[in-house]
Amino acid sequence: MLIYVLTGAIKLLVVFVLLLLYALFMLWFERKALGFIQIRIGPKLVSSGLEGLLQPIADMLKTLWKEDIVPHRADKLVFWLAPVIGAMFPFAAAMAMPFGPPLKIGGSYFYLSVVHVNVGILYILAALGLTSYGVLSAGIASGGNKYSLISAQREVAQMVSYEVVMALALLNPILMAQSLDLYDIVAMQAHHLWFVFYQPVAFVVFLICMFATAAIVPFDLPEAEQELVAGFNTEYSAMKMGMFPFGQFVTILVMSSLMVIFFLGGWTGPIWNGHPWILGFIWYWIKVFFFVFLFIWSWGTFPRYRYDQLMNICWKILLPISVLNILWTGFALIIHIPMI
Amino acid sequence: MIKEHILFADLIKGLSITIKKLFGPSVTLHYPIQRRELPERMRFLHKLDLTPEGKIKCIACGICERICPPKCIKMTRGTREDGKKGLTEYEIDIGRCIFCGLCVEVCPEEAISMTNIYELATYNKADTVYTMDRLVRDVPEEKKAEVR
Repeated sequence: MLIYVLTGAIKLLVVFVLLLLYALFMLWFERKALGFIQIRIGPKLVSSGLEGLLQPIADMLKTLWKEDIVPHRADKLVFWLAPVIGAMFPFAAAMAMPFGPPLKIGGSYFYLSVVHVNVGILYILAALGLTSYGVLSAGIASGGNKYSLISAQREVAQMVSYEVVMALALLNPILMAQSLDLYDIVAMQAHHLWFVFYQPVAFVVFLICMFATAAIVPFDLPEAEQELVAGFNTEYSAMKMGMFPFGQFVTILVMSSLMVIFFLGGWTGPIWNGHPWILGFIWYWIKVFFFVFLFIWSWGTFPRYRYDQLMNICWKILLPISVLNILWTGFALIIHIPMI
Repeated sequence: MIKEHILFADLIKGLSITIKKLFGPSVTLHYPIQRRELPERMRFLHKLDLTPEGKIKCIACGICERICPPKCIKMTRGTREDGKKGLTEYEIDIGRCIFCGLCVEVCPEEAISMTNIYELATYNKADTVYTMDRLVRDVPEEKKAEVR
């Protein structure tokens, strides 16, 4: 019994530290990649030998020393809680995310995720859905700032509509694998083709929802710098403001890993499909980081959709398509036809 | 219609452009480390020219003082050290100068010219006033624009 508590605690600590480091260096990577996309060079002067790799550490130290301003009219408790919620739930979602293929030790498996539950995807979707409460409470608690309020309203509307479509898109691989366990879904794809070949429509729908859920550029309406002066961030300063991007970067990671697990075969590779464990690990992280990069790539490429366009895309296009897709998947599963 | 809404051709085109830029060269000039090579005849800090014998060419006619739009040139006439009458003091307030170059254009003796020294910010407001001593000189080595 004690051994489970101990391994759980160690896993928790390791994953937490890794996620913090990941979020810090994503800040650097994001600025650097956006810089190169815009024909600039990005951060460079802090640790110029390492191409400014230590810039996020300098940024964090600076942020910690900044004055923490709370607006006079703010709802103090909720104002304090909002960044905590906004950063905590993505971390909570990442606790069920696999960090690599399971290690086979003796007869039993050692899972590289803090919790291994057989309804992992339900847990991750629930935790990610709660993330928007951070932005919602930030907007409401900001003392009647209209930018924050509009941003909170947009975030919630966006989340509510895109969570639906995202869940519907994920339902197709779940139907095919007949399991809600992330490891089972990958195991299913190890024996068959990757689900992207059976479910190209669900793949595209999930790809679009991924950007909307993480509120990244074509759909970054809550944070629209040009119209809402960074929305819910407006009244925040110092480390409280720094918490939101942390949460967002972890959301990006979780969404990328969901994408890889559900549609691109997790830790199975196109050529190799078996044993040395480390190869599976490498395959998995190459795919995950491709999608993490895709987020930043689109960040540097696309303009923002208008609010009504966002809602139209979701309710008038993606929702009917994914419902029809589920009907087709169910039909094909019942009469046992291969769905290529 | 099909190309845009089903195959996302426009989005893919945008992504392909940005990925090319990502691996391409940047256009950033690393300013304090590198400096742009400026043409000789840029219109920046003024310089009072000397005759081959080393005397100031200026005859203190005062036309530059009068034509200067922001009135930043101040000129004093009097008896010089060698007993002749002429220019004794000459000041340009660089903080007010608009670098129009009219003083250079109007000078009958071609006694004033402009250099390509453009880093004129100072920590002290008084340093923006350039007196005759500071205007009569060749371009100092350390202020010369470094070649990129």
